Order: sequence, then structure tokens, then C-alpha cells
Amino acid sequence: MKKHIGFVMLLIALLIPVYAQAATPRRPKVLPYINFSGTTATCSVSVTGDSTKDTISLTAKLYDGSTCIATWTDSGTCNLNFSKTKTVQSGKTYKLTADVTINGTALGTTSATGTCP
Amino acid sequence: MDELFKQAADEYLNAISESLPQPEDCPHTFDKRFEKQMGRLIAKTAHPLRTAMLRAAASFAAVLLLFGSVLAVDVNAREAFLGWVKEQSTSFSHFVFKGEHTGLDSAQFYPGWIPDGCTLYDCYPIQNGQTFLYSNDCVDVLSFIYTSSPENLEVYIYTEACSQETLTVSGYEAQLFIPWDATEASDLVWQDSHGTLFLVSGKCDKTVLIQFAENILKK
Amino acid sequence: MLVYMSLMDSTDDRTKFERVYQSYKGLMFYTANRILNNPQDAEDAVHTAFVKIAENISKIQEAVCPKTKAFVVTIVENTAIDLYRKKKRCDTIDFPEDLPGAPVDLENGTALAACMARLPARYRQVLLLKYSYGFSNKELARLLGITEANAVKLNQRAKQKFQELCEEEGVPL
Repeated sequence: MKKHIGFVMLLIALLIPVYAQAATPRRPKVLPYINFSGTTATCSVSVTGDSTKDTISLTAKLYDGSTCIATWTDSGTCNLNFSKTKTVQSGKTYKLTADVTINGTALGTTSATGTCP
Repeated sequence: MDELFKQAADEYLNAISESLPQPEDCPHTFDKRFEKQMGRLIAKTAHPLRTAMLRAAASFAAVLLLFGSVLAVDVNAREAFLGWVKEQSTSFSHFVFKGEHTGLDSAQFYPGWIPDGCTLYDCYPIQNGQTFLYSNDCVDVLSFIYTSSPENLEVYIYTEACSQETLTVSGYEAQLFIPWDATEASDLVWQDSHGTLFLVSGKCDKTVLIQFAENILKK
Repeated sequence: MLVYMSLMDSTDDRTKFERVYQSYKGLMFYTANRILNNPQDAEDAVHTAFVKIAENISKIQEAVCPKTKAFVVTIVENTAIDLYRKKKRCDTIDFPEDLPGAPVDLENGTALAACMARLPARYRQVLLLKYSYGFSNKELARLLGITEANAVKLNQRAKQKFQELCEEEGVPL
């Protein structure tokens, strides 16, 4: 009986819509960039906020086709310059995605694509 | 003590509500721009999905029209637009360089004029370009970013809930994205004939953005 | 789809918002214009205020009532002051919190209400939003466009200033 009640409560909790408070959006400038040197991919993201108090969070992922081969996170205030490297394969096309959150509000996914020579 | 503040706040609200004029005693004819802005806000609150789709369709149509008219009219502009191309996603406008990467400008640029009250906050290189950040006492940031047509780089500007205006900066066609919320930053974007994309953003009047843009100097 | 795109989730909220807009837009313009003395700027401030009202529509119980009337005036006073600061480019005001805001004219207020009226507008707004309308520090921060830490500090300063005014006026706390 308790298990049933617990399951029903969980179902109800999942079905209740989450009324997220709409936040005043910030307007960042996001520049994702992928560069290759030999078989080393340098994945960079530059994020610029509107205020010196803006808190910025970044989740960057590198994809080989549909497979995510690397995930990184970073954070900063006002602006963020992120750069990481990953060994990749010659001739393949890679996609760098950047999910940016400013002051707690997620602002969508940006991306850049490049082919390793 | 919190009860005291609540009591004071409630008593003030009761008193102010009585001392304020009645809404019907404050007639005002709002201008068309306001009515249009409020119409959009009300539509967005009433039908958010439909409004988003309509706006995306309108933006796409506007981009097609702009490209069509520019390409038809001006050869120089056609060459420039074959450089950086604007694409649209739900919330962002993003610029991708699709032109030739040979013979491109590696010149360096810097602001020749800074608005009163702004001081340099940060400055750092980005791929084939630079970012300059200026701040004022109100912690607002005025940013200047340029990048000269690198491969595999995209420039994303958050343009949701914005109106768009086309104007001229230093002889080049520019796009000005003005948020409906006047407290948010506007973005001014243009490219020159050498494949360099410029972006100036800030919470200031468009005349300030344009003056800043027109005074960018080459080293 | 970003949260900003769906400011309100229920049909009731949307109807409530429209009723608030129709009922109070004139009064809000009147209030903003008293601060800004410029009809164009006042209309901009009113529009910004309605964006914030839409974001916080859940704080309004009844579309047309004295509490809502005071709420919309508080919000537009805040947006008008922000616009005023921006227009003056912050170079004539050392402490933005000290701006008096729209002239306040209490006819039959209590002593506590009178002390509230003497507060600088920014402090008064914070106390009203927090204690009458139930805004959390996080919600206050979002509404005022400041960090949560600054919202906490602003609240503390507002309470302190209020207590000082009450002591000056001999109002028992």
C-alpha cells in the first residue's frame, strides 16, 4: 500500500507543471570556436555579459557525430574565456556545443563545427 | 521585528492607495509605438508558442528580404555579405563566415571614443580578433568585439524579444537589435569589406552605440 | 523554449494581466511622468513595468483592487527611477538609493506609514515588495536587476533607515 502511495505521489509530482519564474533575460555574446593543430582540437568559448555582476556558467561538449567525446564546465563573472584541448582523428568533423547560463537562466545552445585536417 | 515592517508596509499601501488619483482620472493617449509594444507583450503572454513561431517566420522573411535587396542593389555589399552570413535560431542570431579565407584582414582595431563615465574593465584576444569591455558606475558593460573571418567560429547574439533596425556605420550596412525591454543591452553588428565582423553592445542609447562604432580605429 | 517566452502559464493569469493593463496604464503613466517629466520616457518606463508585472503576475491576487494599484505604482516608480538614472548616466547621483521617487502625499496615513513615505524610493520599494507582496530576496534581485547579495544588503539598509526615521519621529518600535 505504502509503495503504491509512493508511486502515485511520484507520478503526481512529475505531472505537476513547473511554474518557473520568468527572469529578465541577459543578452550575452557567445563565440564558440574549434581549431585543429594536427590531431589536437582546441575547443574555445568566449562569453561576454552585459553587467560586471553577471554570473556565467558554461557547459561545453565536443561531439563526434552523435557521440559526446568530452564534457567540460566552467564559470565566471561578467565574461568567460574557456579553452580546452582534446585529441581527435584526422578527417572527421566535430561539433562543439556551448550551453550558457547567466544569473541562473539557461539561454539555449550555441555551437561551432570544424573538420580535423 | 518583521511584523513591524509588514504592518508599516501594509499601512503605507492603504494610505497611498487612497491618496493616489483614481485610474479613470489619469487619461493619457499613448503613442502608437507604445500600443504596438504592449500589443506584442499581451500577445506573447496570451499565445507564447504562436508568437514565437510568428516571430521566427517574420525574422526569416526579413532576413530573406534584406539579403535579396542588398544582393540585388550593391555589388560591394554582395561581396561583404558573402562573408559573414546571419542565421537564426529560436533565441539567437548567429553569424557564420562563409566567404573565402584568403587575403583577409589581420588588422587590429581599437575604440577611438569612449562614452563619458566608462572605463576599461577588461581586454583580451579572441580568435583573429579582440574583445574590449568598458564599464560605468552602474556596473553596466559596453562591449566591443571584432573578429576577422576565422574558420570554425560562430558569433551568437541573443536577439529574442528584440526589434531590428538597419542603418549605416562608417559606410557599411549594420543591424541594430533593440530589446523590447529598455533596461537590456542593444547590439550593433556590421562587417567591413575585408571580412571583419564588428559587434558593439551596451545598455545605452543607439546614438551612443553608433558614435562608438563610427570612431573605431585601425592600428 | 525559454522561460521568458511563457511569462504566464494559465489563462487566468493572462486575463488578469490584461485587466491590470487596461485598468492602470494611465495611472502608471502619471506616476512615471512625475519622475521623468518626459512623456516618451514615461511610456518606456510603463512598458518596462508591464514586462516586470507580467513576470510577477502571481504576486497579484485581484486584478483591480487597492493592493494591486499600489503594486503597479511601486513597480513603475522603480522602472522610472532606473530610466532616470540611465538618462543622467549616473554622473549626478552619488547614491542611487537616495532618489526620492514620485512625490508622496499621504492624507490620512498612520505614523508608520508616514515614516515609510519619508524613505528614499528604492528602500521603500524593497520593504513594500518584501513585506506586503512576499517577494523573496531572489525574486527581488531579479525584479530590480541586481544580485541576490545586493538585494539582501539593500533590504538591510532599508530596514535600518526606516528604524532611524521612526526614532527621529518618536514612533515606538
